[in-house]
Amino acid sequence: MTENEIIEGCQNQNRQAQKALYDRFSPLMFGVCKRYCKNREDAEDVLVNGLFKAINNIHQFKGNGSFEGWIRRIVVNEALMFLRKRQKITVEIEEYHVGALTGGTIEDELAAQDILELLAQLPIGYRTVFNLYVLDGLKHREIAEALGISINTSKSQLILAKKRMQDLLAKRAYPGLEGRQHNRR
Amino acid sequence: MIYKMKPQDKIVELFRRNQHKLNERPSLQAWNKLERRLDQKERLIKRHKPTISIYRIIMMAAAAIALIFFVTTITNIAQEANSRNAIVIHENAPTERLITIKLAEEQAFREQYQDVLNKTVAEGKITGQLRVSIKGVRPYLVPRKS
Repeated sequence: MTENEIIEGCQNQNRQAQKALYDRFSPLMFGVCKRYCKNREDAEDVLVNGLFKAINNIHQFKGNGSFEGWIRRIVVNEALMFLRKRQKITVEIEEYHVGALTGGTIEDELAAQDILELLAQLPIGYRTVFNLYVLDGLKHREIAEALGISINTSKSQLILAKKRMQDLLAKRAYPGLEGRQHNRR
Repeated sequence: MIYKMKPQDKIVELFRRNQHKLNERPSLQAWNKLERRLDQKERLIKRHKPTISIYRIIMMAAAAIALIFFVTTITNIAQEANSRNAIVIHENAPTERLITIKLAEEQAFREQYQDVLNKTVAEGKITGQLRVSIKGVRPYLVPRKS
């Protein structure tokens, strides 16, 4: 099914089209959900809620922008709502002297499990801003609006998140997990 | 706090380049859960779909009949207002014959019976004659046409 056929089919409550939408976008959106949630079960719940909303509100997609991006926005919002319900998204205020990021020894490759483990080690505020800005492409203005914080707070949280991430990578003696072959630059 | 954004942020690049590795098919239960919710939604939509009850059909039929009756009555009143009934009576005939003439035809009708229209019933005993009365006007005798 083409994307247009999926959209039209979902508008007509066609189950095949709905399944096609799920098959096409669920792997990517599940990956998005895993970044926000602590475990797979929660990530699947968020995924189901997000795709359900996307299918039910398909008539709101006007074709300006990508369909994938539209679904992704819905899923990310669903993830944020989930986090708000389960635990308050707090922003950490740290007195942290942040120097220029070097990134000199950071390996180019990062396994899926590494990504999840590293993100899980970030405080929830850092992790959320990091996810939203770095991986979901939101601007600081949008992040500030979504989280109810100021734009400056969003920017500082991102800086702190990146610094924390750098520390985590350094602690792990990255590149990669123990015992894995890697190439250093 | 001093912070400085580097043009090339290696950590950002690292995560962006590798995030596709998180893509993964969810468990079969995920689709089952989604499908159940879609089914529930469909059932809700069907349940609340407006259906026309028998009571409503009867009320609509009654309203239609009342409307037809009203329109017919109004039409009749309008027609009556635009026409006159001429009662043509044939002497010795058991019943009167009512004919309706339209207002537009009234002038021609009066011309046809102009000889007798000014006479009243009370004027003498007249046999073998037609009596014409126009509704709302006193009756007249009209000679029978041979």
